[in-house]
Amino acid sequence: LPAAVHALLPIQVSGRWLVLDALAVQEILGQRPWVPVPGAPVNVPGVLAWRGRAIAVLDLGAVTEVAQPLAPGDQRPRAVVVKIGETTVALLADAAREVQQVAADRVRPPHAARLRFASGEVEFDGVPMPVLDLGGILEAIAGVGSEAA
Amino acid sequence: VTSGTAEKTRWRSFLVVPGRAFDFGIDTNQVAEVLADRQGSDRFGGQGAATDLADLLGMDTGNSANEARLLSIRTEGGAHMLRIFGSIAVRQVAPASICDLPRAVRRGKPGQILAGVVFESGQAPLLIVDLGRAWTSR
Repeated sequence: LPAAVHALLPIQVSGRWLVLDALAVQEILGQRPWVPVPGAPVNVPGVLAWRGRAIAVLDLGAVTEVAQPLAPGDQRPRAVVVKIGETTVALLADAAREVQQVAADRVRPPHAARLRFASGEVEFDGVPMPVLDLGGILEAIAGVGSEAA
Repeated sequence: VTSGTAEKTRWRSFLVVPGRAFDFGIDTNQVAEVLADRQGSDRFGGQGAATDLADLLGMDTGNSANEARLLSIRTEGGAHMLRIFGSIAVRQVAPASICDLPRAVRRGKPGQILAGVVFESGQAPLLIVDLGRAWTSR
């Protein structure tokens, strides 16, 4: 892609659309059971199986404060696997749209869609959606970004 | 397969304690004996001498209404009694199927005694409890 174009993936969490950098997305899975780990932080409550290993489940709803934290047994129809640096995590979502190619100037500073960890805002079908800073989220969650997960 | 001889898998055996959405596994090499709760209490000086698995993990394993058993545990940290509730079984696992847990989910104290997780189709996920770490990390 030319540098002036962003590939963005809108996903829905508890009725709220959030936008991810599509280049970080490894795979979009259907509903996958996850295993709550005793004593795990609320933002990273468990693990799921992916390609022969266990990867952390990052509770995007809790991190961005758009939803109640995931409880054991809660399921979502989609699991979006993302990789930032050496860290791979799964984000549970209600829906995912097609990747959108967006001119860089369409990504504006957060305004109508202000949200924790939003680095920008983009409009799809007239709906402003926050673009999430995945790297910032991983950094903030107690050093998750500093390890190979 | 090497030279026409099937390579033997070295299975590991885990004593399985069922939980709500997953099971807990304890390496059978760490379990010296399984006793009824009353029998164990008589032998080892009262119920207070045993640690509940649920307390060790900081969670309700969902089995407290079921029959209790005591496991006599031997680790490098010494001998201990562990109380568990519910039915128990033995499950054999190929070592290669034991996945490390990401450090991010092991930050809490209970997570520090978890050694891995096993995902096998048709079976509940198995969270492996390393009781050697349990008593040395206390």
